[in-house]
Amino acid sequence: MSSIKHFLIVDDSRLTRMIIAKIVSEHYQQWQISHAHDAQSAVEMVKSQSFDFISLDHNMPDVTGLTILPDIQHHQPNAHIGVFTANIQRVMRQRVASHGVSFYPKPINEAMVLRFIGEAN
Amino acid sequence: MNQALLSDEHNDTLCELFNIGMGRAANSLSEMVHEEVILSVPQLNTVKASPTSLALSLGQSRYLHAIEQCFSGDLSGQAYLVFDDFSGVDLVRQLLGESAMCQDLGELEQETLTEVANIILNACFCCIAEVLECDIESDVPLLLKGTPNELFHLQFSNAGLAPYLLTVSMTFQLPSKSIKGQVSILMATESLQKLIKELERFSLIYT
Amino acid sequence: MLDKEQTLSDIVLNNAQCGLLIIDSDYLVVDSNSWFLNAAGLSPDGCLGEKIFTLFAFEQPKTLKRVIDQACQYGMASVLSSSLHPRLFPLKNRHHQPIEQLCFVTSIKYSGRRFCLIQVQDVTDPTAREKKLRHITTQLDKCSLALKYSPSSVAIFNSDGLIEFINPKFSEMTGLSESKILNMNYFSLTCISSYQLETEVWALLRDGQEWVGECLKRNINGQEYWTQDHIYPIQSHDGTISHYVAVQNDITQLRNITHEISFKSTHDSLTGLINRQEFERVVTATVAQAELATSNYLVCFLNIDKFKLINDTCGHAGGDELLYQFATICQSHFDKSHVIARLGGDEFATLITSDDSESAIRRMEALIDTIASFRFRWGESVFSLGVSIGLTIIDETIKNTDDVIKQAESACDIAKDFGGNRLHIYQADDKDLIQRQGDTYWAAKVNQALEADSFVLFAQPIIPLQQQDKISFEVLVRLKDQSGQVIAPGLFLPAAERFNLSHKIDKWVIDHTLDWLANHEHELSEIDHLAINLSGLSLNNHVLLAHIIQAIEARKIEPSKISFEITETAAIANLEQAQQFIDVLRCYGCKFSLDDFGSGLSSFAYLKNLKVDILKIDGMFVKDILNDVIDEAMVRSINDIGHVCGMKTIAEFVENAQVKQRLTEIGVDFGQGYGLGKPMPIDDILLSKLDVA
Repeated sequence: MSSIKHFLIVDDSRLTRMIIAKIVSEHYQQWQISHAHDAQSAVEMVKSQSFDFISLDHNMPDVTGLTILPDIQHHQPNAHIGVFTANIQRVMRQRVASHGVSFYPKPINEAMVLRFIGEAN
Repeated sequence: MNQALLSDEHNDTLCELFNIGMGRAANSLSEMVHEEVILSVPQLNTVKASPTSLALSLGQSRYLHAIEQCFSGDLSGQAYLVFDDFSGVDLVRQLLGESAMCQDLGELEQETLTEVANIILNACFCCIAEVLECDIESDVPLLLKGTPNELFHLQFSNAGLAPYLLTVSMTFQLPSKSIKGQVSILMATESLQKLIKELERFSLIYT
Repeated sequence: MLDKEQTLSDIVLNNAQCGLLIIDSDYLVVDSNSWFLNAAGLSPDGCLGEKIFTLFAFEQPKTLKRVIDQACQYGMASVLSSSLHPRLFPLKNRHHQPIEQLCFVTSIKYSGRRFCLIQVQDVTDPTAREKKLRHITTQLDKCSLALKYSPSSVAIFNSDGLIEFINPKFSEMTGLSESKILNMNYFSLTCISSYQLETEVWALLRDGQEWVGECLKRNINGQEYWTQDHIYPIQSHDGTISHYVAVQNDITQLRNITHEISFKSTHDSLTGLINRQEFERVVTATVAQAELATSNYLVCFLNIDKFKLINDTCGHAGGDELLYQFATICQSHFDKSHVIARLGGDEFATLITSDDSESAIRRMEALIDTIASFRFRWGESVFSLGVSIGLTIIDETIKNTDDVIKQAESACDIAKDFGGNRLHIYQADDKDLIQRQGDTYWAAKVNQALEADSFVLFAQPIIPLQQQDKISFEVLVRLKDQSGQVIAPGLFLPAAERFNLSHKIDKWVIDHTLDWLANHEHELSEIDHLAINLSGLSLNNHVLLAHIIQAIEARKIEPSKISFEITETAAIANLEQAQQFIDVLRCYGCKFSLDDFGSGLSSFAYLKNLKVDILKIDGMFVKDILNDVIDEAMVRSINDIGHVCGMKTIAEFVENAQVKQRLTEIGVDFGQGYGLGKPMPIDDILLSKLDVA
């Protein structure tokens, strides 16, 4: 984990973005952190930039996270992606798993974010 | 006036808390009906409670079912889960797997609706209590029904003077029916100020 | 653990009529009251300190876990409804019946810790009541929906006839609002054809019976409609009747369709008159009540005299038009109380009701006059008509409908025998007339005559109109009955034809004609030939063909002295065989003539295929030749065509010298008719030829 990584946080909630950003920056001061506040801007960002970690919210005002997930996976085949959502129903967990992506139920805490980063190794 | 009461940041934080709370409630409901419950993003609005704002918050419905739950502790007030028109009826029928021919709820069905509202409201308040690390207690829920006018009088007279009205609108969909509900929270001035303080305290941790 | 010393509150708790259970954040049972222990079948010490999830097996432990967590961690109260969590705890009442439960979960604080208090309420009775009520309500809702959307209108009225309930369809059908209809008398409402038997309906209903019937009604807009009404009393369990249900179905459309279908099945589509079947039904009904009635009923059988002629001339369209016009005349001649029917073809019938038969007879005679003065126009042609009417009076001797119509028909036949355009009244005591009724009579007569040799030969001269030709004669057959009366072939030939006897008559005529020729061999120099009629049946008869040649050979008769007359229709019926027959005899030297030429529409087309020597122009063209230019043109063209085909022409029905003169001018070769010579016994022709010459 010596090199500088690029972390993208996709979430319509400022609070969530802040929490994740704070946890990441506290542990990895060098990392670059980007924010996308809705699905559309997230898609635009993954087209033009390269990311190592992407945290993705599901329930967003424009398009749901799972809808854009294949697009993101296509453009960022090497990124480690995690879905962070308040929708904790079993079908949701299954759907996320079927995309080969890990699931993290909100509310988000430090251990959760660190586990997500740790999974990439 | 809205901006004066809660900043965008406060709004955002509360919304996310309700989002998480609703997510848990939906999970509980989906386990009960063995079906997926689809949630919309909550819309939060805070206004000074007045006859007009109350009437507006209840929409154009002809008949309502509302579940009242009083809460006390670090935050206090009354929370209402209000179902538009016959959304409550539809929801219960869906849960119990009965055909909805009659528009009136029987006693058993009223209990069912009360429990469902209880699940939602509790999930929301637990989430607030958990994340904001504050102490909230709730009473046993009570079912109210009637025209918006009748309900409004009840709500207003219960809330005391110059309360604030915080409304969170959301829809949750069961397989065939879309059910519209709204959480309305009536809070006294000092209670709202307390909430704002808690939100700011929480925000400070992350900024 | 809570303090176990008996306090007032302990006593209260243990007497509470609900279950109480206290659980801590580790889900351990801290306390419970007697009600809960009894219902759960536990001893007071049996559950304390036990994990609630090991004490009981829950269907959805997650729910209970959630509410306990929420209560112990956050102080949240919850409700667990009996419908979503049926029998959450396995509790039973004193009668070991399972208990339906409503649970209130609240948070209580004690010694700085939160505990979860679960109150269990027995809602078995309310639940059962509620379920029953719900069931009843659902059933009621279904009933009310069924009534609301029912295509039948439904009303409930009380024993005074006042309406107490209606469904929307009732409102719709009457056009009146519910508020207006309620409390109105059911029977007074919009009924036109009224329940005339209202009292009868009431009598039935009050007797506990139902009434079904059809009624004509009128809605608020004055529109009429038919309903089928079904009214029945509602009996309460003690047998008394307090209300009546009336169900009405709009059957206007159905009625119209039924009416249309029944009209079609009972009426003749061409004339709009009733058909034979319906007429028989009406007559049957009349016969059945004849003895009760004081009026006279007469049945007439009507037959248009020259229908076939007009039909053949004008074609089917013309024939149909004639039938239609004839029907119209009849209809305007009788008022609606009389029944007129078309039995089929050109046969009509009437059933007349009259106070006295004399006036009825006069009315029929008036119809004959009306028809006689009527002229039927088709294209350029104008035809006068005649009608033969047979009349019979329905009396107590009548046994069935068939008899009545047969009597009228036979009377009509007699009217026709007498030349048509007249009325004949059937008389039961006229033995001759009774005997004349059937074809069987005539068939028997023909057979007798063949055996007894009681036919006689007549002959009518065929006069040359152009100077160079010789006279010929058409041989005619007559029947001489026991009384010596000579009967015209019109009476017995149709019967002979129907009973396949006509070729026997033909054979008789041929044999006797040839005998006569042989006997008068030396007196025939002035006679060109004798023409013998052959029926259609004979044309197919090879045996007869062989017989003819044999007979001629045997008598050594010159074949050219014989000609055969065949009718167009007979020839056409079996053209190939007819042609063969003709060819054989023509080769042998006999002549053939085509009778009634022009009466069939297709005449000209067949003329090319039928090789004959003589054309006989149908009399109907000849008769009016002086007055009718069309007839004259017809005669001219037939004559021309005949000559073009190398045939001689004969005009029939030459009734006077003027006609003869015109025919001569036209160039017709021969003439035949009363104006030129009446049929006479064959022996007389040897005398008469001198006159003509």
